[in-house]
Formats: sequence, structure tokens, C-alpha cells
Amino acid sequence: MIINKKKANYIKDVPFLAKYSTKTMTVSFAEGYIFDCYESFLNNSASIKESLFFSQGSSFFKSNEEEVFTFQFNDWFYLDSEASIFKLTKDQRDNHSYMSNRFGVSFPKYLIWKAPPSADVSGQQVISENIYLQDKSSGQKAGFKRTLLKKNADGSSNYRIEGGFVIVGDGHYQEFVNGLDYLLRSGENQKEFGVKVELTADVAFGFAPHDTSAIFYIRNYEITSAELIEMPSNESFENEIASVASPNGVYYFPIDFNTDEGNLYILFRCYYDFWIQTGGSNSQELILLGSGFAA
Amino acid sequence: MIGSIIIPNGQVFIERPFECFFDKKTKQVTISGGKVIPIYSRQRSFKIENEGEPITLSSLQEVYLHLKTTPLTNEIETARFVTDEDVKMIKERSDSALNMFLPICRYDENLDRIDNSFFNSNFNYTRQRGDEPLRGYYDNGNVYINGFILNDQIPNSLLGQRVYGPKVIKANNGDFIVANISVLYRTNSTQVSEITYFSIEKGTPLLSVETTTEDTSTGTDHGDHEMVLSRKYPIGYVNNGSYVSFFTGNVFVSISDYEAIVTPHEHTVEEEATTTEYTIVRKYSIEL
Repeated sequence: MIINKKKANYIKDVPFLAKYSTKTMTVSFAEGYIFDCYESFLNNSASIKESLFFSQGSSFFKSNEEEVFTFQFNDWFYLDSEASIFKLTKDQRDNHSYMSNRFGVSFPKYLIWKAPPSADVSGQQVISENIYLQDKSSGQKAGFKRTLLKKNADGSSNYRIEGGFVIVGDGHYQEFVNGLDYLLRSGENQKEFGVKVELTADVAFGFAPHDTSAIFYIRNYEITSAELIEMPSNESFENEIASVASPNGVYYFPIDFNTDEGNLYILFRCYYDFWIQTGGSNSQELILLGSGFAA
Repeated sequence: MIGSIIIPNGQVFIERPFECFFDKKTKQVTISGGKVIPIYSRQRSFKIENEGEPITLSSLQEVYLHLKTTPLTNEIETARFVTDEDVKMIKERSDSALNMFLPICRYDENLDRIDNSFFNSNFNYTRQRGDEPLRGYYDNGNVYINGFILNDQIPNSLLGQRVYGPKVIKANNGDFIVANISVLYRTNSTQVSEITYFSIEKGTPLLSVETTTEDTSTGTDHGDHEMVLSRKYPIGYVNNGSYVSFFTGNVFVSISDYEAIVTPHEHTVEEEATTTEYTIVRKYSIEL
């Protein structure tokens, strides 16, 4: 907190400080911040009006100091990792199945205030400092990983998809596919991304080795380009190689390819840790490397 | 570090850690107070290197508290105030996971003032848990790889063998780090016979040519023979000052044995329907 010495500064500036009344049974909290120390926001086109903006430092989330919560005695108030405040009643906390269903294995970590057990006792402030997350793994890069960079005041969010390498066969095609930053507007569905690999190939019809199911396969293929694209919302993924189950690690091209003005292309949706191989009659493999995101 | 100053008009001011003082005449900001306190290490608290030194700001320039940790040991190496120009240079040569940049203040030229930073307490550095095997970091031209555990999915062979790779590999932007592995494989055995070579090194990913040995026997008959399979699997690469990992855990070695290709040969016999014959090529591949 930068103190302006020309005016008085009061204790109310303490982060996440609870202001409550047992008459109205309401509570609000002073603003506080959660900093993700290893995630940095990088945007050179920031407007000067964005007073909260820092271009190279930690991503951070601000709690809402104007929000007023009702509470019952023995309620506890928590922060999630994006600085949203929520409460849990004693019954909810004691109900293991409720907690498991709601939070999975990620039980709430940041208890900020315990409501008083009765009108005669005061509430208990637990957190009174900004929170600095120091999970080093969040700062480690992974190909095609999606990261939430910043939540904006208008409800929109800035995200980044990291780039990654596309490697084909014996390494004769190695291209780094650039990542991108994008804005997700309030209420908008999360965007899906994929790698579009364009190629030329001889396509032939055949049968799977152990049964008579029809497959198409390619030979003499040549990759012409690879790029990260936003998946069309109405795109059918039935033709994706990644969607074809294969017990032996070989992914055959199912049915047919997508075509774009006569050119062949394949869409690989960005998955977490996916490795895709195709057998080819020329013994080449088509492999896309990357650690994708878990949505 | 919280102190109080009584000023003549009687108001009480609370001086918080990492306070910024801006001199409008010189356009310099001075940041004083504040400590970096390592919680889970034997390191002592850090006083910021350039605490109290004036920093001259240009338009929209920002100031950060930079904390750099050391690869593998995870201890704080550097704690100092830097501008966003410094941040850009640091990011070009050192991994994001090793460097923290905590926003302190920003100069707003239009309003000729310093914007709030919201950073108002001593910084407690909580040392991380142990890194996962095969995690890597890039720092000043070197990739630092953690130890890794070599394992295989097949019982009775090399289960739980721990292998240490090179800790430091010289690498530049765009270079691949590969797992170079060779396995002696007997087709009449159900287990990996012997892992003859394993190392983590800089190299080119070779995903096919050196990785498979083909047996063109037809049908499902393997035949009994031995072969040495080798493969250079990419496990990560250096990109813009950071090491990008493909692997984040132990290594499990397995042998894929699959019928890769069905090549149709159509031919027509007189007075018979067109028939198709197939050639099955067996492929063996090491999977990590």
C-alpha cells in the first residue's frame, strides 16, 4: 500500500478485514489481493486508464470490497485462488460428501474470517495480509498450456495459450507454433484451441489389421504448415486423430480428412500431454508433441 | 516492519513495508523498508540490495521487486528493485519459474504521480516442495535437469532403478533436450531384457529412423530374435528464456510391438473377382 502523506490513512486499509454486524448479520471485507508470483501478465497495449495494470509482474486478483454477505453464527468465509469470497456453514464443513462434491480434492485453502459463534463473542480475523501464491510449477512452461492472466473489472478475462513444437517423423519437419493471447468476454464460453496441420499425401483405403473395419491411411505425406487456431464451435471432432481409440498406440486416420480448398488438413485439439502417432506405409510416423491444457 | 510517525497536525500515519516516495522534481522514486523472509530455509532475511537508492522513472515505467532463486537448490540468490526494462532483459535469459516480479509502483506521467502497488507487507518466501523428476530450468545458457527415475512397466526388470542424468546442459534458445535410450529386446521374452544406455542430453529428436527396428515377417508370428532399439525422445526445449517440459514425472519404459501397416496390393485373376492382399510390417518402438 502506498501511503499518501497528504491525507490520513486508517486501519481500514488492512486487507480482507471483516466489517460485520450481529444486528443485521451482514459482513463485508476490505479489499485485498492475491498475487500469483510466478505468473506474469505481459501486454504492451495496455491503456493508461488501467490504473491496476502492471505489464511484467505477477498476475493478481482483487477481492470485491463492496460485496455484502449475510451470515449465520459459526459460518466461515474463504477466498478462492482468484480472490472471490464465499462462505461455508458449519453443516457444510462437517459434511464430507458435500465438501468432496463441491471441491474435489482441492479443499478451500484461504480462511479469512470466522463468524462469531454467538452474539456475545466477536468474530475472528484469520488473514489480514495480501496473499502471495508461490507454486513454482505454475511458472513452468508447457506447450499449448492455457493460463488465466488477469480478470478485468468488466468481467472479461485475459488468457494465454503457450506455443509448442510440431515434430514430424524423423525430424524433417520441426516448427514452433506460436502461442497467442486472447480476451474472453463476460458470459462467453471458454474457447477451444487446436493445431491445424496442413499436408499433402496419398490417401488410400484399407482394412484394419485384426478386423475388417474400414480405415483410410496415408503415405508419402508432406507437412506444409502448422498453426494454432481457435476451434470452430460447430466443428465435428469425429475426424480428429486424437479421438480415435487405439489399443496399440497406432492411430489410423478415420473415415476421411478435412479439406480446405482442396488441401488436406488435420485438426489436433489441444489436450493435456497428448502424443499422436500414425503408422504410414513408408514407416514414417506423424507425431505432435505438446503438453496441452486441462480445461 | 511497521512503524508509526507522529506528524505535527496530530494525524497518525502507518508506514508500511516497501513504501514508495516520489520526488516530482527529479522524477525519482525511492523505496524503503521491507524485507524478504525465507520461511523454510536456513537463509537469513534479505534486505533489498538497492533499498533506498533512487530510481529514475520515464513515462509509464514500472518498478518491481525481483527475486531470483537458484536452480535445484531453490534458495534466493537475488533480491532487488528493477524496472520493467530490466524485467524484459532478465526474462530473455532466465526461466520464469526461477524469477518472481512483484509489482511495487508505476509512474503515471499524465497525472505525474505514483500508482498504488498494493504490495504492503514483508514478503515471506515459502520454499517449494521438491521438484518432480525430469523438471528442468533454463538459466543463462544452461538447462538444469533434476534427477530422474528410470523404470519400466514390465515386472522383474530394472524396476525402480534410479539414474542420474547430467545436471547441467549447455543449450540455447530453440534447442531440444532429449532422452537418449537404448534397450536390448528379445522378441521371445515378455520383458525388457536390458536397458543398455540412458542419458538426458541436448540433441535432435529422432522419432522414427533410429527408434524402430522392423521385422517384415508376415502374420502374427514374431520369430525369435534379439534387437537393440534406440530412441531419442524429446523431453523439452528452450523457448524465450524458459525451459518447456514435455515430461513432468518418472520415466517408464515400455516396448510397443504393433502391426503398423496394411498395404493393399490389388490384382485381378481371370474370371475371379478382384482380390486384395496385404503386407503386414511389424514395428517395435520404445515408449517413454
